[in-house]
Amino acid sequence: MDDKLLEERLSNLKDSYDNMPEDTRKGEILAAIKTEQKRKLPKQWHHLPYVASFIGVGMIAGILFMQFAGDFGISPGSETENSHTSSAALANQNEIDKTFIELNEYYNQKHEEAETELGMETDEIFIAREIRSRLIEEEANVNHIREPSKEDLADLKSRLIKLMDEEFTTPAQLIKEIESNPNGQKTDQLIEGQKLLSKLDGYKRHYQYYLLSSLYLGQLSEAEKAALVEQLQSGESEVINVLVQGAEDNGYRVVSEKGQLVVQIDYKGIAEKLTDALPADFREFLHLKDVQVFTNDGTLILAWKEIGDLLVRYEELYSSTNSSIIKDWIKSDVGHSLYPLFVLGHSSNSLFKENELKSEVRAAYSYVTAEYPSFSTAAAIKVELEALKLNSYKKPLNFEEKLVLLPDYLNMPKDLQQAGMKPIEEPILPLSDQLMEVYETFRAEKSEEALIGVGPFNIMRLYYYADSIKDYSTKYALYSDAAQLPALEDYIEDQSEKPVSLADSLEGYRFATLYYTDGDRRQIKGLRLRFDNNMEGLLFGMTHENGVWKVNFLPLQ
Amino acid sequence: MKEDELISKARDGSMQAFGEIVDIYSPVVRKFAFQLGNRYEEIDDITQEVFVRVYRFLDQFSQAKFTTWLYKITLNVTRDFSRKQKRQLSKVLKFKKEPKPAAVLVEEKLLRNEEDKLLHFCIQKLDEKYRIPIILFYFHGKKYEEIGDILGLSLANVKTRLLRGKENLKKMLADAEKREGKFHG
Repeated sequence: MDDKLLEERLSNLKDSYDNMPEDTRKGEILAAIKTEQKRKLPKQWHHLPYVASFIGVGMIAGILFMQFAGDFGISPGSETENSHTSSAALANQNEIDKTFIELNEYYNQKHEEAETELGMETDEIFIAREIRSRLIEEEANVNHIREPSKEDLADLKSRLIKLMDEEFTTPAQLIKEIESNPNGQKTDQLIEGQKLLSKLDGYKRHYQYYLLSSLYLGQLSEAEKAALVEQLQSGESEVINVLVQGAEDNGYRVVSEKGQLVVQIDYKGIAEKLTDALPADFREFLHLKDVQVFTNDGTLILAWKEIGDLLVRYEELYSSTNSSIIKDWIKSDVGHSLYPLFVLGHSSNSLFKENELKSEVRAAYSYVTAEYPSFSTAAAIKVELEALKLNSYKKPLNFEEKLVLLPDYLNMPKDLQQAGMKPIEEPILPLSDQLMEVYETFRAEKSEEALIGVGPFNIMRLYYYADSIKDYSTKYALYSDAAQLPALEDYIEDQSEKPVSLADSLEGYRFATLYYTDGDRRQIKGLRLRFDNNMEGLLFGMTHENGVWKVNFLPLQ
Repeated sequence: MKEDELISKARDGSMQAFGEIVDIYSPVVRKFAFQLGNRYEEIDDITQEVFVRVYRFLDQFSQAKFTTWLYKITLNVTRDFSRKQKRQLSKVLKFKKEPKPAAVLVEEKLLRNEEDKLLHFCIQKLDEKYRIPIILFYFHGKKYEEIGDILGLSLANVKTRLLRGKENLKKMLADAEKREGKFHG
């Protein structure tokens, strides 16, 4: 075949391509863009919500990357940054290529290690896909859009490596770390425990994704699904055995549910494995979390009476623990889902049958009120039951839209509700991944720029965190009015000698509210920390200085 | 509205302008994604992902020509999707799965001419370093310089790859036709 003939045929093929139907799903693309708009968080100060620590790891990574892009890239209006970049020595192509080759090799190595540890046998990149695609994107951007300085390139590389390290830390590694420190302080154990819970949630997605896209790729027949379950039970399949072992090491269990393999977090197993390294109240919390309320596909499986028992056990733990972290977890789990489920029902299991309250629901409500009369859960259920009785146990109109009145222990004190003060309920420690990123940047540079857009509550969290890890120079840098401070060396020496950690003062901490001067909402003076035994609370003084929030010297009053 | 005006408005948050960008450039993305060897049923998802990434990084888009950037993003998205396809089911499962006939049928319809079909599949089998320059040069009318910009190659490299790519393609095509015995037998 000669060149001319080949080119003719290429030209004919081009005509065929040009006649391809142009049925772009524009509406769907724009809808996806709308979703993307929501992901672009404005960089203004806000209290990073408690739930952020439970958001999937990949998503956090995504958000962090957006911040990297903003920090590193050419952002509109950032003339200073641009002029800085252009005046610094630019990285040459070889340096850029070398950086990304190393980053990709590092990614592959970490990824492979993680997959082996998790027991996933696959060539597919399941974990940190977001990071993988961002690596590709960053490489393209650096190559074609930006001209990074050597310094920028090195900075980008170290940030990406750090992010990968964090992303690829498996639950098994965290379990081992906790296990190796049986005599740690309770606060530290709880912080480590929370990291583990967050990691378990994140990595569960990887297992689900693995099962769905590898084992259950395509439409398996019932016989094929049954074969997989059989392989789980018989232990004959090496692939399944590796998966089961990896899951167990990482705090999960592989079970058969509705004829299909599913992965569940084995909270109970973790509690038993870490008997010596976790506080008893935390272990009890894990036991409660282990109760399976829903199947993997979201069908309610727990009987109403069992849900009632579970609610009471949560309240019992809430009353007996003195840990604000555990109290927060309970408030989140029970207040947001388990209690509303008990009084509203679920799409897979309604409270009513033909508009009449089901006898088993009525029996469960009566059981809770009769068996546990001293509990606030029972008091709240009693109100529900009486309201239903007044309606002859018929389903009230607009029932699903009704306001759920939570048991007292889950509610805020009434004086606060009346004052209209919004409690900030996220825990002070540990820091969320996003805030940790702010901390690391501030620690490295001690520049107030890193604190721009961070609200007073989160600045206070950074302060507590710096103290908890004995990073006194960062703690010092968080103070306002530098001119009035003691010398840094004296301060560090003084702090190093103090017998207790600031975090110890958080025992019994429940939530914070902003603190204003004479009720003037424009004059924030800091935060009021409220405690179980001291609802009047402690004041944590702060100052808005040079456009950022700083901590007053000796802030607690 | 000119390209740079549209981009500027989209960057300022105008969904109408972004919608126009989608109207203008989505046929190019779809075609390029298909020519790169993606299954027809994946083209919509790939196109969507390309425009999401365009949107995500619009703030950072500056000096480069927009289409150059768009091609580059399409290439990256395609690479991500092709990784997905590499899942080795047989390694995981103890039983074989049936091949998916649907994808083949769609491509049969798109390329009715047997010669076109064979050439399309031969191009897919070319090594990526030859395949992409050929696609950009012959099906998208890109000049050597622009191909160089998209792929980060020197002019000399682009020319060499096109030349070698054509040689490889001719050989593959001849072999394929010999095997099928349809055109020269």
